[in-house]
Amino acid sequence: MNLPLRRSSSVEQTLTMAIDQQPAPAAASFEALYRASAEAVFAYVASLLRDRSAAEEVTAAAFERAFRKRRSFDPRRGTQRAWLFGIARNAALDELRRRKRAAALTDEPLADEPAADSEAEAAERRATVRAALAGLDPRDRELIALKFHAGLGNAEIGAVLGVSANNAGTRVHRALTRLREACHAPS
Amino acid sequence: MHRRETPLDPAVATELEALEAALAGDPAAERELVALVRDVRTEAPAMSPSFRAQLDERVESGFARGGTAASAGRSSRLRGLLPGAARSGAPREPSPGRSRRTPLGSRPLIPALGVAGCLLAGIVAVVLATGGSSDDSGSHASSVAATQAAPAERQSSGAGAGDAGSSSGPSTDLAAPSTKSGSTAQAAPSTPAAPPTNGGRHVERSTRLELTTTDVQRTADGIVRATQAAGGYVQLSQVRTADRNAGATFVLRIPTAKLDDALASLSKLGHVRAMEQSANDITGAYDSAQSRLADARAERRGLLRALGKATTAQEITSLKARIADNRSALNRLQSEFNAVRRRANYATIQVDVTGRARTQPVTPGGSWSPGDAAHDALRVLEVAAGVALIGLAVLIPLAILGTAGGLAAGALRRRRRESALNAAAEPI
Repeated sequence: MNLPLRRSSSVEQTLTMAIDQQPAPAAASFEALYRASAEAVFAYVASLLRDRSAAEEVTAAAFERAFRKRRSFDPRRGTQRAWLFGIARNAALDELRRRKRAAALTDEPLADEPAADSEAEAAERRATVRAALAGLDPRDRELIALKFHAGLGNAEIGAVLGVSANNAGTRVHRALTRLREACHAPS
Repeated sequence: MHRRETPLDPAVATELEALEAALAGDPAAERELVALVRDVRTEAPAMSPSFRAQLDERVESGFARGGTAASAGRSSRLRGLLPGAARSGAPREPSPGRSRRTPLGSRPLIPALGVAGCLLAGIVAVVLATGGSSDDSGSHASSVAATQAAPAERQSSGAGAGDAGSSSGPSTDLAAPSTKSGSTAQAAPSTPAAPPTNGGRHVERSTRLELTTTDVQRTADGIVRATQAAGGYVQLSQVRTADRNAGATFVLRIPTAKLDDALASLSKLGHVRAMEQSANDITGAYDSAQSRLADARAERRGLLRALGKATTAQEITSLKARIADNRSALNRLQSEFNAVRRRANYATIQVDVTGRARTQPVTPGGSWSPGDAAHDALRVLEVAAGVALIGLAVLIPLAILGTAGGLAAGALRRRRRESALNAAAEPI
């Protein structure tokens, strides 16, 4: 499977800022929001659920729910991306609640594909990171996804989780520390 | 809601700044963090191209309801998006519990049902509040008429049988003659119709009639005319024609044989509020007076015969004195007998007339003045305010309960979601 080209964070920030400047998520701005956030939302949901099929269902449901509720978006309560990830989070947690347990990741993106980097060292490093991510607490994995995949700021993460920006930053730092410890831990 | 911000630890803030620099691709960022960011991003789960294409199509179509089946279950709604299903061509079996999900489209029905329930409760309250107070007088009046009809009938049958004694009680049966002439024939037999000497008995009858009318003077004139037409006479009359407290009182003597006709005529002159009737058997008093009168007459005849046979002056003087005494007694007894006979032959009717305010009918010709319009408008506003007040009294508690329930449900839902995330951390 070919990985989609990942846009640079500066481009993503530019898109995000343009979207956030919209006064209301009209249909056109919603499509722009979708195109800017679809991959990140899927990555975030898949990190929570660890189930590719379920992640696709929940991602589609989250975007449909966001589309239906796009007029209820209040810019005073946060950015559109934070609003969208909040919806995705609720949908993912609802799915987790229905299943009552976390299913094993059945279709890891890179599990059955050759590494893009042919260097053995890089491949080993990514395998270590993959294992470290899999061993993280779901809450830490969620924070890593929101920070690394979605590129949300601390205030946006706080809006998604329902905590303050500083609290979100502290949690992100804690999750990062645990990820680094897991990466450095002897296998 | 503003939360109290606890300042970040400087060390944490420094490391977060380093992370932000690595995420932003800053060349001066920490190399280890840059590598970690790159590796984590490389490990990010990516959409399959087929799913992305289908989702793109759905977003461009605005999640058309016909194709998404939002009203159906979530699994069926999303089944078409699944790349696995698309590849295999078979519908994907939903995991247990997924098909139990309430469709997103049905969620807005919950507040709609709540609002509809509140409105229904408000309407019921308004109907109950307004319906309970508007017809009190009418229902009371009809019930009184219904319960008093039976005593009137008993009174009529009792008097018709010639029973002695008195019976009294208000009756509104005679209100009918004032409205329909056809009802007069029915109302008249309900009054006591016993002849004064039914079966050799002598009955003294008296009636008290209460009338209400808007024109006291006209009713008083009608009473006099009805009395004269029945061959009776007015024993007492008092008429007050002041604007306020207008009314009249009559004491009529009507031949007993014409009593029923007279009552029917009088009842037509106004609204009969009440009627009391009594019958008193005076046969004993009648016979006694008649007997004493006959005895006095027989004594007079004997004295006159003795006077014709008297020969001496002393006898003649004595008989003349006795005849004079007898004449006085005869006159007194005749008066007593006449009084008793008049009680039997003439019934007494006391008529009390009460004036009432004339209602101002709204004529279509234009007597509806701006003042009337203002009064009507004020009345409409009063009723509307009352209805609104009742509605608020019903809706506000329901709204408070609904809000509290919604907040509690939201808190419970958040807690359950967080607990689901905790459960995900447990080993499989």
